[in-house]
Amino acid sequence: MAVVVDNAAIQAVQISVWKKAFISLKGAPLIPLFIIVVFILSAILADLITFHDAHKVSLPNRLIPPFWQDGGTFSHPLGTDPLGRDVLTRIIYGTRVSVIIAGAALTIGGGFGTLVGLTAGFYGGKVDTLLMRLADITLAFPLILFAILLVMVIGPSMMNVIVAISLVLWARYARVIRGEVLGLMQRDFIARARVSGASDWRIMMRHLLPNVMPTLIVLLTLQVGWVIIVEASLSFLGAGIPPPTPAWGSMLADGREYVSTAWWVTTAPGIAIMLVVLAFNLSGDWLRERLDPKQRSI
Amino acid sequence: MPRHRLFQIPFLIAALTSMMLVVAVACGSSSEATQAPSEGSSDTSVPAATAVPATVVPASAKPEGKLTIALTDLGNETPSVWQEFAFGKSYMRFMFDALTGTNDEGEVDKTTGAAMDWSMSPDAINWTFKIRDNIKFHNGDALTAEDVKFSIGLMTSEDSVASYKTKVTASIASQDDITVVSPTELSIKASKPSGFLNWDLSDIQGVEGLIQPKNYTETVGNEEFATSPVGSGPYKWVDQRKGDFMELEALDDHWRDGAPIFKSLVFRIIPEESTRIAALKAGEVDVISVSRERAPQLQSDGLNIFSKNGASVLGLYFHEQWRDNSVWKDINVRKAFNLAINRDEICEFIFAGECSPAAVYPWPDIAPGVDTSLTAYPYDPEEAKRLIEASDYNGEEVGIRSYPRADVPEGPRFIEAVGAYLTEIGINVKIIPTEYASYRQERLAHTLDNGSGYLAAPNRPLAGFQGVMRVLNHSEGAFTSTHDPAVDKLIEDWEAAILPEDVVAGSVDLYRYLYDNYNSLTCCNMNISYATNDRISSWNLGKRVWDDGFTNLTQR
Repeated sequence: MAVVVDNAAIQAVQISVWKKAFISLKGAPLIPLFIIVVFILSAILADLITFHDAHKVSLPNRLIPPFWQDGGTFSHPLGTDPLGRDVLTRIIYGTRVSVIIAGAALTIGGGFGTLVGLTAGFYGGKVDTLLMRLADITLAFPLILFAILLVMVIGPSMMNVIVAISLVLWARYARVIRGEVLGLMQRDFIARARVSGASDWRIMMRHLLPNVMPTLIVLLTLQVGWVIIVEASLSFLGAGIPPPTPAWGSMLADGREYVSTAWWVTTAPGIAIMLVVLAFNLSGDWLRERLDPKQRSI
Repeated sequence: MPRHRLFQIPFLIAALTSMMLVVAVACGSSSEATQAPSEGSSDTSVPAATAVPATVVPASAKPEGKLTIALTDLGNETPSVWQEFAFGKSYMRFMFDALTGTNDEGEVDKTTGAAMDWSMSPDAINWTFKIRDNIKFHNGDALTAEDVKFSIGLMTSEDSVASYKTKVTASIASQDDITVVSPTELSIKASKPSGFLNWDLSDIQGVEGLIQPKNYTETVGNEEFATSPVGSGPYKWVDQRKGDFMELEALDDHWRDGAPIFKSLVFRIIPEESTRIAALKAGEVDVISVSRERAPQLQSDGLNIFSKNGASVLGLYFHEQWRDNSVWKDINVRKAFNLAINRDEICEFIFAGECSPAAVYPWPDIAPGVDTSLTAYPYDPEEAKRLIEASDYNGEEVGIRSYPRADVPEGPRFIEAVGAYLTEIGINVKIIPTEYASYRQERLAHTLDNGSGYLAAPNRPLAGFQGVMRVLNHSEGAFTSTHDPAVDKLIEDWEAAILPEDVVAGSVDLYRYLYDNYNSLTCCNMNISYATNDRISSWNLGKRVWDDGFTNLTQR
């Protein structure tokens, strides 16, 4: 039997998908989203889009100003740092560090925190009390101090920065997700799942997790900026990514002694941090409005 | 309620008076913090620290005002002769007197220390020190030979962190070798010929020669002493917040310095150079250490810059190079490291031209006994690569510690540059940011396998050089990076020499051996700079080691 393909129907469906995508982007913060796309692409394609070696020291070329200033050159559009390395190249490679750390820390910290929040909210009672007190203790620690202490004890490296941030990040997720789960536990579909004999694990993974996902996504988006700031702070304080790996925070630190004579060394990574963090925060706000029916109705 | 109102009026008057008093005190203290001793008063007619010789100052001159010095660090910030090391000498010399005094020319001086005279037997074994009888500690106790013996005992004790104690213990094996003949006489029987024992017990190098009171220390205990120290120097202890500041107060009349210029002396720890500069410009501090790179700009901004040329030699150490797993056990690797570094470039671009490539440490300008034909190793990365390929090096990770230092604010940049040069020749470099104190602990514990770190070791007189060579290169030296019987013998023969020409000859032999064996990575002979405000118009930084003549800032 010959299959009749209705091309017109397929085209109509495709149009509707694009239309839906367009509609869903209505009101989206396009500039922040564009910055995020550029940020992520820079991290992925850093090797292809840069012309200089991010680690290559060239002392005779130190502190060349940006191209629009006297003495500047298009070869180093944003100038060079005190060791003669191209600032733009290091900013682009710095995005890779930020993306890796943000991705890993949010996956580890966010994942663990979500699991703790689901468990605490689902079981309640002593389990809830114990887990939430642990979260409270973690939240009570001065974050940067705790991370510095941890990194100083176990030594500065990218892995250790991820571990340090994850160790303080989970508690925020645990708190928020637990609150969501407590609300969901009163709903009928949970009672029905119990009656139908679903295991605890299945209820948490198949019924609770999908329902807390919108909150989780918003939280993850908003926390990207926070993680980038923490990583930059740790690197600035010398407890983050060790040199010569380019990281925005350590680039800021490298240039702080030159603020009055070579402003570009600190200004360029400073602007990069500000733009990316702002972009994630604005996008997170937009996502929250899109995914939260209450906010949307307002 | 009349009683209540009557009660309120005196209360209000008292409150207003208290507020006025608080405001007055606050204004008074702030003006004191920024004012030099008034030029108008007869007894404080010296506006600058060392501008006018002591004879011009009226006998009635009394210390006034406050001087604030901001540095990157102050050693352990623990004012005790066995708990502090050389970096703390800047403040320790204000509080304590040394057994053997020194002068700004870097020589021992019989007028500036507790010992007014000393003598040595022809075989350099027996030493006698005559102690002054007019020195009092800040608590009123007299300084005697008992205190000297006690202090040497503390400084040479097992837990002592004094930088050059192994040089002293090489000569003084036991406390039994020290005899208190009388309160003003001390004799020492050295365990080997020790022609420089008087230098070793001076304040020329670290804090080894400084004296703390026996009775007071034993009464209050070591812990209490470290928080309420008592010395016999021109300044006494007032207050401290570790990592932040240390405050000292001048005696009205010190046996050596008379009346210092400034009543209050504050050391502040400000690791960030830009913060130090901002504090100096804002008038919060009077003296700061400044990087060579920033000095010219500050001078053009109208601040005073004082420099000590050839103050130190910057280099990296190849730690634990005697161990089988060390990459530096192979001389080819040590040579490659030395050929990989472009010293001219480092001097010109990292140290703003305020240094010159160096071959050996210390540099001959100050230390006699150097073979002047030795020149800095050339920059030859191709040869370095060839040597690495021909060596046993198999990509082992070399961990270079990076930390800021008061005397080398450019340190982290220097280490990054060195790391880049070494990476170019195929070395797997890992830069490890840390603090100098941590690195120092690792050096002492000898846990730096394939690890390195930098030090700007101060140039020093020959006697001091002997001390530091034992510490750095003898198998028994606290910080040694080598276990080489040939080096040990060279050092021991050198130390045994008594006649000056033999000492110089021993020095030349040792220099040559270390140079030919690429024992470390000597980089550059560096100047050191400080910036001051108008209150300091002249300053002799002197030639002492680890102390840039800070006491000259307060002497009339």
